[in-house]
Amino acid sequence: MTNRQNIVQSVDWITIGIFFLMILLGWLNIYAADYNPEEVTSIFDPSSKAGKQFIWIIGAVVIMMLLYYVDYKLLDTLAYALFGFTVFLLLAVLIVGTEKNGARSWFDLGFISLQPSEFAKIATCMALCRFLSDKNPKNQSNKFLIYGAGFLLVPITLILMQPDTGSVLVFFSLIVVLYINGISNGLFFSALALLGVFILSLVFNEVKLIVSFSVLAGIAIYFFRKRKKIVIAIFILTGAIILQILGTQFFVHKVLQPHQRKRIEVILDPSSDPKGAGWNTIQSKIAIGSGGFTGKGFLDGNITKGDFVPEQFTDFIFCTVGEEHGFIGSFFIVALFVILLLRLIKLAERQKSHFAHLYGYSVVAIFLFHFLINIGMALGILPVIGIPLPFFSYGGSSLWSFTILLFIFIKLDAHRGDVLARR
Amino acid sequence: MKSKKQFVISVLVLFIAIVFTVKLFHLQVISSDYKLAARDNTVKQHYIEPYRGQIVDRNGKMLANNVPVFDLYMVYRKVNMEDSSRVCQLLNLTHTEFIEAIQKMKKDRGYSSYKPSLFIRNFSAEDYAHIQDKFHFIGYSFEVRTERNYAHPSFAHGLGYTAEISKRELDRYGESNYINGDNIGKTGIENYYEKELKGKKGIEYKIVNVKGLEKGRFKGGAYDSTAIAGYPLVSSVDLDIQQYAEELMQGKKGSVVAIEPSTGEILCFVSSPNYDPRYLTGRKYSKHMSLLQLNSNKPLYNRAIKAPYPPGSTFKPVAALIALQEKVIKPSERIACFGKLKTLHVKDHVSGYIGIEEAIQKSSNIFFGKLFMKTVQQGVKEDWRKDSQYGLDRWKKMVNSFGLGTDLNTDISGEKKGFVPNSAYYNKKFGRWSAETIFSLGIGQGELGATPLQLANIAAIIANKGFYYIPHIIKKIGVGNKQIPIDERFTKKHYTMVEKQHFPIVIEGMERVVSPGGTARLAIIPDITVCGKTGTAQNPHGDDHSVFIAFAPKHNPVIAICTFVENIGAGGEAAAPISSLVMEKYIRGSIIDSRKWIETYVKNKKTIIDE
Repeated sequence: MTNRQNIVQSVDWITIGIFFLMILLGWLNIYAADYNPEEVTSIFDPSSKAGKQFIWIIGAVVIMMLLYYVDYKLLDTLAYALFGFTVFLLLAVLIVGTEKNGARSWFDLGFISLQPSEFAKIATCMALCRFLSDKNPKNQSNKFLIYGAGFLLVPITLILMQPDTGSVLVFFSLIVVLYINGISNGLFFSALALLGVFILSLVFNEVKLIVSFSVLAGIAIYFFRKRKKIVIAIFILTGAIILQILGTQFFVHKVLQPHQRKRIEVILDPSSDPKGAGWNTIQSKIAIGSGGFTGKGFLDGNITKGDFVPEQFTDFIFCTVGEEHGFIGSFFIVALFVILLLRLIKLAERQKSHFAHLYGYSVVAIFLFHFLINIGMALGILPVIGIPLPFFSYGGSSLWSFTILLFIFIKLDAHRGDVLARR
Repeated sequence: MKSKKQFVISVLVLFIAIVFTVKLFHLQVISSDYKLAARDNTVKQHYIEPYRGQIVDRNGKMLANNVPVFDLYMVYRKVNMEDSSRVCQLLNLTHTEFIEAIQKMKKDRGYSSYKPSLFIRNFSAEDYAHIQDKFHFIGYSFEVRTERNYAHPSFAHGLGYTAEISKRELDRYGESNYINGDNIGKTGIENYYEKELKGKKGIEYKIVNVKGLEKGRFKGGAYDSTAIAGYPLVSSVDLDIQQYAEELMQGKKGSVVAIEPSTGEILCFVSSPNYDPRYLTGRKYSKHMSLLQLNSNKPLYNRAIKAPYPPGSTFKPVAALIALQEKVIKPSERIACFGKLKTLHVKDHVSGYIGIEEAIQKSSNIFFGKLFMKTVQQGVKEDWRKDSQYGLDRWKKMVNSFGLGTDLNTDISGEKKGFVPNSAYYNKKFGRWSAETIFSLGIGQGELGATPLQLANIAAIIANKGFYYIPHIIKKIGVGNKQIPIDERFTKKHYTMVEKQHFPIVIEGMERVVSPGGTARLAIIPDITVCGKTGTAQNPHGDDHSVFIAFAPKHNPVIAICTFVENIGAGGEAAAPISSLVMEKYIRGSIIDSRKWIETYVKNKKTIIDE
């Protein structure tokens, strides 16, 4: 029993506090997005979006409690079994799943629909961290890390078959874990840059891109004009980027068949923007822009209600924050995510077990990726990739999976004193 | 190293947050780009329907264009249900129809009770003018759209029809260019050339205030795109002979298909009974559709490309050509044909030693029965049953090269293959069999099935002495400098497996068919040499079908035709005169006086009662 009391003392109440604050704000925000002044419903009305979210929040709290009672050692031990089970679910959903928006990614259980790809994130994190931590920690060769990356390939392939490309991209964020475990800075940033330039050159006009990269390079060269080595490095880098842009263009337009090209275009512009006219992005910018400095006030927004965009409760929920609470409110939410992420990084660093350390960073990676893509998309900086904003987007599967992901880590963290140092 | 990486990740987090904050500040505080004039304004997306491409005939006569129609939209939350009885009265709806329309509307993809949803489609301009003044109910609005309109009551099976896009079609094409309530081509040209005809939707972004009033364009129209009209199409059909052939076919079941042999362009495409294509437009679409579906004469059934009829004796020229190519008969050779051939249970009205030309002229069943057995049983294999199997499969391949039993791959949706059996088919059906068992294939009976389009193509092949262009019904896509070429498969010659030198003798025979001593005397046209072949297809469903294939003139043919009339008797009696009238009309422009009586005679022959 002393163990349990220890836990209460040793859990990270700051993170838990941020978690509760976020789900509370998220819930109110969903109520606002669904609010119709002509037909006011209670925030608890189970037929409304906010009412359903409330039920899922209760579920999330129950999950939280249950995790509290799980033996923390099991988490490490069961990682592979859970991974296997998830792979099974991902296979099953391809066969017996229900199709929504062109992707066969849901189990319709009648009273509730579940999306196994959401839970696959958790199991994949655990299995990957287990694999990386099991091996001799000194064995950090890149080859070994590539084997680790193999863990990502199985769920990625299965989810691509649904196809739910937004969810797939999340798995790439786990590169961060490989980075923490040993990939060198150079390799990590090259991988990020490669991915970044690839996505950019699919989305933007190549001439514009090349011009803007050249201008950036020019500025950089001006600043470093006295250091010859850096100037040469910038030249080489810019050349490489331009080559990649042209290469991508060539690959997409000359090598790929039209139907394959279509598939890539769908990755970047999935069903969330069926008319291909950037309507969602325009609407989203208008909504956020109309909020001004202080916002229109809670429940007083008019753009993000009714006929806004099809994903106004999920992928574009941030627009309601922007419209009703303006710059102040939006900044507050961004700051809240920053605090959560920095706190999680700090917790990850204080882990003694290698597994918990890596797991902590995988939680950081996934939250960071969702934060980056979701808000970046709402602001029109990033292409439209439909993934939810943690604790704010409407929906049970995403809320529960983020809760489980987070609380497994909080549980591990609470027991950090019980393990022998392995790192 | 560890803490350095921690630092890198933390910096990444802060960097992203700073970028977001700067962008937020720009959007919400500095920039006015995304500010709307008033706080209560919103931006609405408004689609502009592209103009559906017109369709004209080969001489530029209008076949299909567009007229404005009005759709009624409803914002469910705003509608006052107490208005509904007045609404019903004005719209001429029963209360049940009204409720059903609402239920249907609620099931539409993307339905929202907040936004205008398509309630009832297709009010004509007259209806709208009538309703407009009195229709001032909250929550309802009319939107104008263009709807297909057909200029003539003809050519329904070629043109096809358009109708509201179904949920399944929306799944298939919807993502890029369609929304609920859009029309889409369902059959015929409208279906096959949907992509070309459709064009591209335009989008306008409009600033709208709380009351739904438009306050101007968003950002001066910077994001707007204009609608791009669909390509106009030029059909290869000649409206004059199309209408004429339809007139002749009235009261009969069957089909008339004519092709220009030198191009493969379809000149006339009749499936009878037909319907007025205008019948399937506008508000009455569903009602009319179900009436047509219930009609026992099946006017919707496109017999010209879907009905696999036994070709009967019209197949004999093909049988002769294959035999010549296989060298089982020499052009000058004669075969003994006397009264009756016991083993074949075939009667015949010729007797004596006859050659190919006479056999075609008199349509000798014994001749072609024997010829078929010679073709199939060539003694290549020692076992005579195996020899038959080998021979039949070889024969089938050659028949296939004439476009029978295969998809012609024309540009009319829904084409059927017909049927040419192979040895595997008979092995399964009979077990043990030989050429003698299946000799009726040689006279175009048995299991053979060919569509009127395929038979017209046979006539074109013979006219061309051995090749064809895939029959097609659209000859030009677009006008002026905005043209795209028709599919290249339509401009490529397809050769049969029979060489050119074997054709003249068969053509001689076909010329003799349309002569005083032949079976198609009613097809003789003064000054124009017609080559043809009659067929009288036996069938289990009643009287014989009357078939005729022909081309004219003999030298440099301009038209090849097949006429198929169900349950009306011998080939020479109905199909031959109809074909000849259509050909004469096409070549000469009119029917000479001495043949006017044939016109009347044909028109008076009726086998069905119009429903």
